[in-house]
Amino acid sequence: MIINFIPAMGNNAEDMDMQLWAYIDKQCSDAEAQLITTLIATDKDWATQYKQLLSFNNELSSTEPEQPSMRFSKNVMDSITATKIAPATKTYVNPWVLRGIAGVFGLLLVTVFIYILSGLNWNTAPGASSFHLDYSKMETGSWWIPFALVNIVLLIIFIDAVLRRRRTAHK
Amino acid sequence: MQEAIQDADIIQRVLKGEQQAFSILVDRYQHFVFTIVLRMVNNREEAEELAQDTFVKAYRFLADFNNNSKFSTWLYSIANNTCLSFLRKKQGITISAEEGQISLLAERTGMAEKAPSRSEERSQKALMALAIQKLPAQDAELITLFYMAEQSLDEIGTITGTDTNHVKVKLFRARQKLKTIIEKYYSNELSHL
Repeated sequence: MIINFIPAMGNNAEDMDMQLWAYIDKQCSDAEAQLITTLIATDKDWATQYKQLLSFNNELSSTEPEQPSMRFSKNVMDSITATKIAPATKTYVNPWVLRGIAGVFGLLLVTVFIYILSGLNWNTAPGASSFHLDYSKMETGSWWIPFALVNIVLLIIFIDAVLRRRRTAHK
Repeated sequence: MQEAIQDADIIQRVLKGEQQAFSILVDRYQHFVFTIVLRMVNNREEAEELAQDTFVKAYRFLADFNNNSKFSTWLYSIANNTCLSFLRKKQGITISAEEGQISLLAERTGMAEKAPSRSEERSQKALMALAIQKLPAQDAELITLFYMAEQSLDEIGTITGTDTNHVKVKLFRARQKLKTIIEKYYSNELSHL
């Protein structure tokens, strides 16, 4: 980390600013912070720039928020008088629905896997194909298209639900 | 003494039916929500309306708030999304927040366009606020969230739906732009920066 960090320093003003902002925001590692402390103490350019950015940072930190109108709070409270709190999302999403969809796909995958295994030719003789599927058993009609489409849609719904739950859990 | 009451306790009281307790949260966060919204839409009337919408939405979906994040972070996420929806509707086009195009959509009018008059006496803080309003909407929002609303880079990432490293880079760029604006418009008044 520190090896990548050092050459960037002092190459140009933007690099220097970036390292100094990371230092001010306490977003750099201990080793990087120590190195920048040394540079500020020994290098005039670094010291000047640090002083300037720190002053800028302090000015920004002291900026006060804007004031809404005096009636703001009352307006909000008036608006929510007739509003009902909606029930939590997790109370009306049945986890068994998600588990059911997952089960269907699991079963489908296992079935396909077993079918493929049953079609394998275990003869290891040279030139023999190790994989053989009897396509003649399969119908050539288009019966499977709607079935596949429904499965794809269900798969997308399931992945979406899982990702949403994970994201919520992370938050 | 009211400030000492934790957000989580207030939320529990509201969820139990004590609607008036929500006013404590409104009083506590109205300035920050209003400022964030104002930085994005740059119009006081619209900002006031959107800030009110933010609180009404927060109230309606309060049961969905889990204590995994700060209430303020959750509230600012609602404010951010409310503003984005508003700007999209206003412009009538579909945009992506990731593309950084919001800046082109927000009206950079009103106070921001008023060049500071030397004859007017302005405080340093007011000048800084004016300089922030000259930034593109997304950059102004980022600066406001970081410095005024005191949100960490991770929390800003949660609010804006972006990666923390991306936020870090964008904050750096926003500050660089702000420095340029100060040098261009307010170099006399803010010469010490």
